[in-house]
Amino acid sequence: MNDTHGGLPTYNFTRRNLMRMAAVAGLGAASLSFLPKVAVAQSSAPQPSEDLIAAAKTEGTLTFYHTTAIDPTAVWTSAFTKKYGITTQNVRGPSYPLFERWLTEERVGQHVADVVQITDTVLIESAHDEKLIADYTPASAAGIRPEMKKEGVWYTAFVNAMGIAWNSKLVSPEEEKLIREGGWNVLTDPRWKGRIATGTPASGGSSYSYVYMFLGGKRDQFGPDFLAKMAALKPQVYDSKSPMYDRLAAGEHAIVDQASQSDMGGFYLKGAPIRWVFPTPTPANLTVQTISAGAPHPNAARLFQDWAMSQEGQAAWFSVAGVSSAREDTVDPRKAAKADWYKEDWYKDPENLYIDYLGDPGYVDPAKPIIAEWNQLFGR
Amino acid sequence: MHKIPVGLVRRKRQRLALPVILGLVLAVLVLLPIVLMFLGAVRTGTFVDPRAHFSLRSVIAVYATMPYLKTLIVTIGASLAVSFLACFIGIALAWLISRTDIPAKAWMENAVIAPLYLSPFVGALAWLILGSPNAGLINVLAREVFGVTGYAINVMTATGVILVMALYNIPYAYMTVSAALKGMDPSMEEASYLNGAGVFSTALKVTLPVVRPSIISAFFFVFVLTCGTFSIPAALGGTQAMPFLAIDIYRATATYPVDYARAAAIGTLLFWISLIGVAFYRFASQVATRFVTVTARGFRTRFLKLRSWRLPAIGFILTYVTLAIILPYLALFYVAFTRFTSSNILTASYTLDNFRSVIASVAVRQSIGNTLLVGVISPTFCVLLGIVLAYSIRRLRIRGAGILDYIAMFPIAVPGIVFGTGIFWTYLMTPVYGTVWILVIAFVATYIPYAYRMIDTSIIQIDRSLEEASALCGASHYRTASQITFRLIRPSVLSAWILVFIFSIREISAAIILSSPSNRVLSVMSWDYLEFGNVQNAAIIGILQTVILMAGILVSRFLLRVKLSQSG
Repeated sequence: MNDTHGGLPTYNFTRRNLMRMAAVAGLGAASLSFLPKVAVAQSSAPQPSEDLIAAAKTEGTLTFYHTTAIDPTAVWTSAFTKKYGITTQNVRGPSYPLFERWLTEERVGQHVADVVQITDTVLIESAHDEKLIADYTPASAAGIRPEMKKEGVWYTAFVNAMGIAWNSKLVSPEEEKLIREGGWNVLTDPRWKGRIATGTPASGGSSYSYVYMFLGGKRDQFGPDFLAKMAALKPQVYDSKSPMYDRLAAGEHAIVDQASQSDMGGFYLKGAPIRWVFPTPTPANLTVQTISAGAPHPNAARLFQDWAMSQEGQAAWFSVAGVSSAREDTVDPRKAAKADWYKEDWYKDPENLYIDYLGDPGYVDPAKPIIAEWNQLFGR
Repeated sequence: MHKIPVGLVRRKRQRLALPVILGLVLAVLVLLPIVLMFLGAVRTGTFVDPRAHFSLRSVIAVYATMPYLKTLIVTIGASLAVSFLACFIGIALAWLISRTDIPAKAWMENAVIAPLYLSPFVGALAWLILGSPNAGLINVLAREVFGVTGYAINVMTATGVILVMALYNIPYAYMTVSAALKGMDPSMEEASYLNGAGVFSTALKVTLPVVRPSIISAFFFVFVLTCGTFSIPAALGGTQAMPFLAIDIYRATATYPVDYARAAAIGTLLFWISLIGVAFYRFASQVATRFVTVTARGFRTRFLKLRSWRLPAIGFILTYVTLAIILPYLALFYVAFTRFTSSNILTASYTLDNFRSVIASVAVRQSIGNTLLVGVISPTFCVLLGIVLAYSIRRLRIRGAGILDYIAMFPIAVPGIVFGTGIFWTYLMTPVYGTVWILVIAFVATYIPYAYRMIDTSIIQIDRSLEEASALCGASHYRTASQITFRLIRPSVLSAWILVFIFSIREISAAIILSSPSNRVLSVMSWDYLEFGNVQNAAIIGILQTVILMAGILVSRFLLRVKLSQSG
């Protein structure tokens, strides 16, 4: 694809992949092939109705269960509050327990959450089957890439690519060259013994999606042998990724995987000696949002979902985190201006995002067998 | 025909009313969450999961498969090691401060108790910053200044985790043993000296046997507390440093697949282990209090002269204070002022932005309010219930006193994270769910054993002849209780209040499970920041908690003239 793609790099739009996406999105494969162009062509953004805005303002507040980092999210939702005067109560939790908690609350009629954000679409669809999710199609969601939504159910707020990050003070120039050019195989290099860290796929949707590429979707290319070699380096395994990034910046580890663009960007802006690279193929993960059927503030929830999926909402997220947008028409202005990490010679956008796994039987299997396999490999 | 006098019937009814009410309160507060834990262990999903059914799968896996049994053995071994270390150092500190002429006693005592003001979880975070093998500040310093190769210390090992856990448990051992030492009539030791025994043989043959029950009770108290701790081993590298049952529980509730049955099954396993510990603790603390020490007679303690041992003794205390307070707070303040955690204090980039953003955060402000609310209400209710229980069981000798006494001690045996889950299910469908009141209920239930035991102990220590004298002088039951008993137990009531206040402000495991937007407290904020935000803000929240704890304790000390170490 070409440079009109803004924040997102080219996809592997093979016919097979498109078919899979179509299966996920519940749309016909034929209509899909030209949808991205349609999205770009949209000029005047659809606005939420006046009635919705008025009803939402009457409710005045909403509760947002989210999985993104606390402070950037607070800044992001405050942009919504500023625009509509509707406050948000943000509750941060790890994907799985947060989702389980919301399920339990809904099942017993303790309605707390209005909008639920999660990094695992499989769980949302099972909740949809249980009729716990409100059907709503935000007008703005027309601009969301087709493979990044399930109409009426969930919509992608952000796309997070994951690569390899290193501490530039703990890595020699030759090693840096190796990391930048060596692809994923660099993770199995014995030189990292005692210097590498990783995260468990059991911690949340993004880590799970990352590991799924190696043990599931691209098993032929990587598979258990690849991870066994990595496990032999005895990496420090984190149950949660934020502390891992902090320890990378501090110099406890020289190199880590599952390095997400949004988190690395944050550390870069603070001046941490962190650099990162996206080997090919680059696993990416969708952070999606849905509206609870029992939302105590249904109108505010819908208005927030509208805003979150709009060009404006997505651009607001860019100002706090460097992830890619789920929209074609929203580009991180820093990229165009060659600002921040975009100016660094070591930085390169991911070239081939691996995202077409959402319909894989192995991925949607609720038993998530690859977690057990990973645990076995890493001696957990 | 026999006619039962009306008065007797009424008295009988009254005698039944109190035990029934107390029994009901404890049943709902304590037993129900524990019963739900056991039920949860044999379900395949949550209680409201339509697909869940009964199954022994989790129980069998936890009780009869190797990984869990191995973890169980390591957990018990490590907890025993922590107890041993904490008690050894705690006893030495208590003896030095209460029996010798060490200078600045009041200051020393405050310093020894000070680690209580730091949440153990934040303390572990501080030690991670100080003592991780590669980037730990101490190790970087050792390498750059002293040319050490490799590392000087490594807290991310089994030894490291045990040492850090011991460090934060020393105050409990100190408080228990120091209270016994202070209550002991020193004339026994004087007699030993007069008969020509030396310092060590007196300490070994006279002092130690008298305070032995309190040492045993401190030992098992620390043991039970350590078994259920997840925050310290979790912060220091999780199971890679050392397998630990409490981490397995946390993992079962926080990582995929979320398996509450497994968490509950591990919880029941820990429950049995802790119950054994509680039985020892209960037995020992009852033996300990068999010695009536609050009598009408007064005594004066003679302090032993340390002479040439003075400096080493001061050095010992200062080393402890450095490791438990000074270094961790330096690490927290350092991190709080940095843009990102750096292992080099010279090249780190400093900023005030973290403080600004934390203070400006609405969520933080709300959680300060919630913390204060929960921190004042929970210990108050807890202590009131403790007084009623202790007085009814010990002085009124109500029916079923023994059973009530046992039930009141149960919560110690349940790890906070499992008890929190039990409370979650107990109150999920009630209006208190999601409010600060569910936290108040959780904390009263969790800490009733401490409040009850401290107050009970001080009631036993009161010579009955004082109350009998009051009764003989014609005072009513109520008047004797209010004028004699409650006056005499006042110091321990207030220390119980302070202890539960400290616990309530620092508690993290149950608070995480019960948290919702309207009841978030600071401990939950610090956990959230570490897990999903940044270490800088977690450190600031930890410091904020300390400020609240110190302010609360200062205020209560000045208002009520009570010392934490006066506890019985």
